[in-house]
Amino acid sequence: MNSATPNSSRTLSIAASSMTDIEPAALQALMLALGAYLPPERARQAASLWQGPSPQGSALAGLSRYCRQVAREFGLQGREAELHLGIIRAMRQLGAHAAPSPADPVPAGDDVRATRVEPALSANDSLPPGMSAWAVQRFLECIEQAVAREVPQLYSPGRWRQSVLARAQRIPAPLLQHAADWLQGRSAQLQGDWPARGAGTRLINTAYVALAEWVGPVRADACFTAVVRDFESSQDPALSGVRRYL
Amino acid sequence: MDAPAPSGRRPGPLAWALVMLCVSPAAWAVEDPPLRPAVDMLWLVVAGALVFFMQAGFAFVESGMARAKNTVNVIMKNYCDMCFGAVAFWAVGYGLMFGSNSSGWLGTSAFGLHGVPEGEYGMLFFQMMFAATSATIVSGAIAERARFSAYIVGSIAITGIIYPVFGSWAWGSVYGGEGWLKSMGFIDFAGSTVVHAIGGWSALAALLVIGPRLGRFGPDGQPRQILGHNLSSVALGAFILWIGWFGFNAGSTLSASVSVGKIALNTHLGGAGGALGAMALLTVLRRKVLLTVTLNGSIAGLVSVTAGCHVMEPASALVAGLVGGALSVLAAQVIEAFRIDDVVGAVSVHAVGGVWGTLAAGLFNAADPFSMAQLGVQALGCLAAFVWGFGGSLLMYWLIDMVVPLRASTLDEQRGLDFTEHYELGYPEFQQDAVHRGKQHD
Repeated sequence: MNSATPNSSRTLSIAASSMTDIEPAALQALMLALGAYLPPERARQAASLWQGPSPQGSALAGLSRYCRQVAREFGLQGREAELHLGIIRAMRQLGAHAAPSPADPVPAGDDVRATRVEPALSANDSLPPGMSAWAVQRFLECIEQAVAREVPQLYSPGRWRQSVLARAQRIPAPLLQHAADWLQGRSAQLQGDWPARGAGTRLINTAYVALAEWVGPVRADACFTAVVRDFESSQDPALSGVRRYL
Repeated sequence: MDAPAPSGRRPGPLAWALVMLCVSPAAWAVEDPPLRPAVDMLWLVVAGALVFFMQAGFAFVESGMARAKNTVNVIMKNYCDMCFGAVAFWAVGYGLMFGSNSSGWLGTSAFGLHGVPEGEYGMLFFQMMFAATSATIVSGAIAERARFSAYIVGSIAITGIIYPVFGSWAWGSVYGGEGWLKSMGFIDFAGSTVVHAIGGWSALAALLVIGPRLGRFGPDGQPRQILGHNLSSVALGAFILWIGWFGFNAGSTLSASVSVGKIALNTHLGGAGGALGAMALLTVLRRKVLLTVTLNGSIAGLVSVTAGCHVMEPASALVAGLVGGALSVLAAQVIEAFRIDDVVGAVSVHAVGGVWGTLAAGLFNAADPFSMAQLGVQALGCLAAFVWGFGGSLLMYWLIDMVVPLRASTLDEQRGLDFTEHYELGYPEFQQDAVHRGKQHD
């Protein structure tokens, strides 16, 4: 995660000149978010790449480009969505003016993951698309950890994920492809919109069905309850509202 | 402490009347024409009320054996069996079962009984309770994963058609004619086959259509126990069923006759023998003597004496119960080996117990013990019950499943049917962690 990339020397050279242009609150937010992935010096370098919201496009699009650039140059490929969310949360928390709103318009043609998502909240009570994928992904990861803990003699990542995927056939085809990509390791993040009371709920239920078969329904209920309790006590707004998925 | 001393109590008029009834020779022989039908009717209604109370027994047994998140659903099913079943049996079932039966196959009158002499209503009342009992046996077998609406449709079909049709063969008729099994001398006094085996075979059909609960069998097919949430409730339910059985069997005399005492005794010995038989077999097999298995053994014992409690001597009733209880243990293992998820053991108790009880009525008939001819008739009755009860129910549940369907969604199963079907939780104070959105989010 923290390994250097060929671009790091170039990044270092521009860092000192750019840092002063960034609003202090935004800088602090970027450091907070990037600090979860990078050591302080490299986080500072990454923060220096921030150019703020694009005057032509939306703040969301600018942030997406930034996340993609940081991921590419600092070896964080596959963590763009996490980074994206982390920066949004940090900026909102610290009151940075550059904090984008999920409702900001998204320009056409921007191919980053965040710009493929819907500009507004999902039609139900779910989270914004990027956040919904994150919540569902985290839930499934926690369930997988529970499986590994409960039945270590049976568990292997491939077997478990295949077991989930085999039961997910009722999920709409494009989303099923996203789920398959993630579960089979072709993408590091679960992509797509996974709203509560829709595909998100269905995918989590699919994991429940597989979990019940692996560990039995009583322990499956206990695992679910434990995950829900952990998520609800989380500071992460994407996770603390997990009950809406159940 | 402030209560009056027992010696200070004075018997009221009702107590005096009861004493007079007991000590008066005239009261023992209620031959007074105006009084005799009234006493018979009184007994029939009391017995019917006891059979009605069995619904509470089933509700407690079944809900206790289910997980907490499905408690309300199980109780609703038992309650609605009675409500829907009462209407279905009054409108259709009673006529099919006890209406004029010239062909021997089906009753053709007395539908929606109305405007008849008062004396006829008591029989309808009593038989109505039996019909609901047969239907409610399915409830426990397919607990925790059946869609409520589909279940109710099935319950109505059992009460209105499946149970009465077989009943017309074995018990018909009140209004003329005779069922073909009855005319062959088939013995099923209170319904080992007519009520319990038919209910049990229907349960088996429903189980095959609906499939096991999520996770009941592991990926390798190994069974997993899903423990019930309240064994106190299960035990209370079993006690209630046992009490109700005195009405079930002794009430089947349809009159307040002296034979009621023997029937009640045989019933009790059958239940006791069933529990002992189950415990004995568990001990012999070096298995743990579980409460749930013991209770099921006693119910199987009760089923086993239901057909022949009026013709057996007490020792025979005890043997019938012992064997029935032991068979329920074995049958439960066989059923599980076939990966059939019977939550309460309805098939092993009611179907297997019912078949054994029907055969036992032929074997232990004190007037003609071990008669092979009678045993043949009994076996034929059991076979007919299987073909009609299982075959008809399988077709019925298959059709329901095509339309409704019968099985609740996996999401509903995850959330628990209390919330998804009824929007209520059985134990809201203790289900704060229920893994669904909960009512407060609606």
